[in-house]
Amino acid sequence: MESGQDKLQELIVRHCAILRANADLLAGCVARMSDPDNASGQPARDALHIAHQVAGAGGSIGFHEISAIASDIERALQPIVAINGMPSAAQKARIDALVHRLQRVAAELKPQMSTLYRLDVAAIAGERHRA
Amino acid sequence: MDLHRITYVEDEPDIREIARIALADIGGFEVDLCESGQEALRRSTDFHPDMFLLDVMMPGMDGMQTYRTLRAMPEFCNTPAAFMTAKVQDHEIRHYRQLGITGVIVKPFDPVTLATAVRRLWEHAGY
Repeated sequence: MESGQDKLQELIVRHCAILRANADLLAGCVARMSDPDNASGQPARDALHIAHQVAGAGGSIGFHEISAIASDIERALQPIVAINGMPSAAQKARIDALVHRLQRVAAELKPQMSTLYRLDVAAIAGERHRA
Repeated sequence: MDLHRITYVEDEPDIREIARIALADIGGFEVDLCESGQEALRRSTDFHPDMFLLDVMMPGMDGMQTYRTLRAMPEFCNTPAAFMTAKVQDHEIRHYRQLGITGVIVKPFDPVTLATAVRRLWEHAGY
């Protein structure tokens, strides 16, 4: 039977690939944000949704640096989505820089970099039970 | 009354999986994971949770809509419910509490301490 630690490591390995894919998806949405054909604001909303997912899931699965960068991207996108508008040049430059940083960190990500990778689920469960 | 059964509503599959490890494998709770508010409404009448954990930002029926719908159901009108959400300000937490929300657990959460945080909210609710 698969142990809790095995299941956790499988999840971390899978999530590593998802984070890389989401960083690229996010970059695609951000690239479309200034396109006049996308004046509806949909790319910014999509980007915000992905950044929110990356921040929440990445952080809960032990990838804290990725989560922190995604949270910064979320905060940078929120005022643009709130007015359903196009980003200013300064807003776009800041978001581009954050997304490039996210992609760079995601590209170098390894499962072992998760703070949960070596977590002994059975031992923690045992300690909790005894407490 | 003790806390045994938890329904966790979350649209992101990997967060559901880490929550299952945190609440069931580490916390020892019986957990029903639902990917949407609609699924939670369908399944909770059979599962009978002692407590709900609701993601706030979900496509379709969000956490608040799910909470209001559950509260309108006689079997869940008093069941504690907590929101799982990104950092919120104190006035938002006060607003949630005024609506009857038991508390807020900040995402991203720490899987090692999630079960303890949930139990604290449960005890805070007076159970």
